Amino acid sequence: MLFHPRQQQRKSTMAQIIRKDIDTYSAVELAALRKGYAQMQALSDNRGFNYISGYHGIPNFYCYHLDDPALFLPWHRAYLLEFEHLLRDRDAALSVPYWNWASATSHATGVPKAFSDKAAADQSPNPLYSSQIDVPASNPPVRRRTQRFPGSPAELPSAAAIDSLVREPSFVRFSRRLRDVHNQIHGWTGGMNATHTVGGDMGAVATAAFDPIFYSHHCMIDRTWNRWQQLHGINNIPGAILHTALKGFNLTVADVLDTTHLGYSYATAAVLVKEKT
Amino acid sequence: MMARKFTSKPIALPTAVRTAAFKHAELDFFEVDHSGASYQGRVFFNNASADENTPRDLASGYAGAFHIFGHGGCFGEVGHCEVMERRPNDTRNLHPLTPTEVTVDVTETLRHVAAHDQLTVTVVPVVLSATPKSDVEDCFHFDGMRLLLRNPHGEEVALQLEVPANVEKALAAPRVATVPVSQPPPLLIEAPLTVAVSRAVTGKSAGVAAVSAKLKTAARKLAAKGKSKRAAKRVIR
Repeated sequence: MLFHPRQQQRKSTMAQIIRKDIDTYSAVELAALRKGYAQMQALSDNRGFNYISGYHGIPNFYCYHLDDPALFLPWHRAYLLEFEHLLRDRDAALSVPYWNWASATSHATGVPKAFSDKAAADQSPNPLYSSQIDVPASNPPVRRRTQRFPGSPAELPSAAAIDSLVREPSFVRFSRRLRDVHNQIHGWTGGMNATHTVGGDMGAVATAAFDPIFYSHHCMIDRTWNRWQQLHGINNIPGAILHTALKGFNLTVADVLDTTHLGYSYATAAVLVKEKT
Repeated sequence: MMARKFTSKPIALPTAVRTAAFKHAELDFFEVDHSGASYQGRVFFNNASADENTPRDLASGYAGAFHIFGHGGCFGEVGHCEVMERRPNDTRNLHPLTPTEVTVDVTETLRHVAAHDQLTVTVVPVVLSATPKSDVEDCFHFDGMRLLLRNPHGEEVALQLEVPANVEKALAAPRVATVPVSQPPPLLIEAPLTVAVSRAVTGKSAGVAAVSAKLKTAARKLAAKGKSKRAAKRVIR
């Protein structure tokens, strides 16, 4: 079959990518990921890290965290997808890794080393450690590097708690409970400095998305929703919000329900078969 | 700096609680402000002296926690973070700072204190992260709470309305006591719903209306000086 060039392009963007746990990345994969983030951070136009980070908080505040309507999960799925496309524009083989903050590794080390190392293997600055916030439109203008002061790993949620959450049958209640865990991780990751005078950027809606770990945190949130969908149904969501537009994107809630349609899946999907039985 | 905690007045426990005749219990907080710091709200039952260092265990009355992801303060011009009244034809999303609702599963701890006649609820906000624009000491604001029980026997109980200490002084009229919930929230469809409950500050009483008018006036004056509606509440107190 012959494809019009634009159809071919569309077909290629629909290819499935796998989102993996950041702790499973090889040195080569991590170097490629860091290179992609660094290239995004170097762009000052609307393909760049600073631009897409400005969707969530300053200066645009498109994000949605309220209960009614329950757009918290759909909006952030669309946002993560948009970010991932911009990342893949730098290197099509890349995907956003998830940070499993409920894993035994996270309970031992806290923030993954891939994000907490100040320098990459080649001693260049690690673009996953921090990024530049450049928002002249905020009051006052913000121009500085992101920072984080994570809490004690013992305070991170347990895998058992997340498994319990995934078994919640009601989407609205699941969304609320997952949002609470999400809120906890934001506060935990941002944290406060030793003198309790400065907070980390992940701890405030206004600046959270400028911290490179934001996208891997939300990838874990999205993965948890994906797990829930496989147990309770992809279309299990209040009908009243299906056709609600997700601000900032050319997508409605219905458009983002099926991750395979969006072109991605999660590396641990096989585990779900066991959960269903 | 530690955040100011909230402790309720004693709430008389209904029979269903005292006999532990419930399957599940949730404590809901309404109209929770999230404009400032990010914090963990630790909920304790019958432990008014609880603070950040109190062990989070049954013996201390620890019932669970909720988490607020704070906005971080206002990064806009004057009025940017004011939640405007919505017009009927306003198709935009809700204002991001529209107060939210949080829920804590308190089943286990409520059973633990079930033998008591009364219940006090203490919320200790532990600030996790804050910007210089956030009021850390005064981060926890809400307009009401309810205890919601699910009882396999279908028994209904109503608990007394509760008023948060940080808005009580702003209310001119005494609070109404027990109000059964006539229409349970849609989340509870799996019930047999047993408890009804209370939602403070939902009524349009004369007292609330008067305070609302005072708030608006004070907010307008403070807005002109570049301060927030939160500051207006403090002025009224």
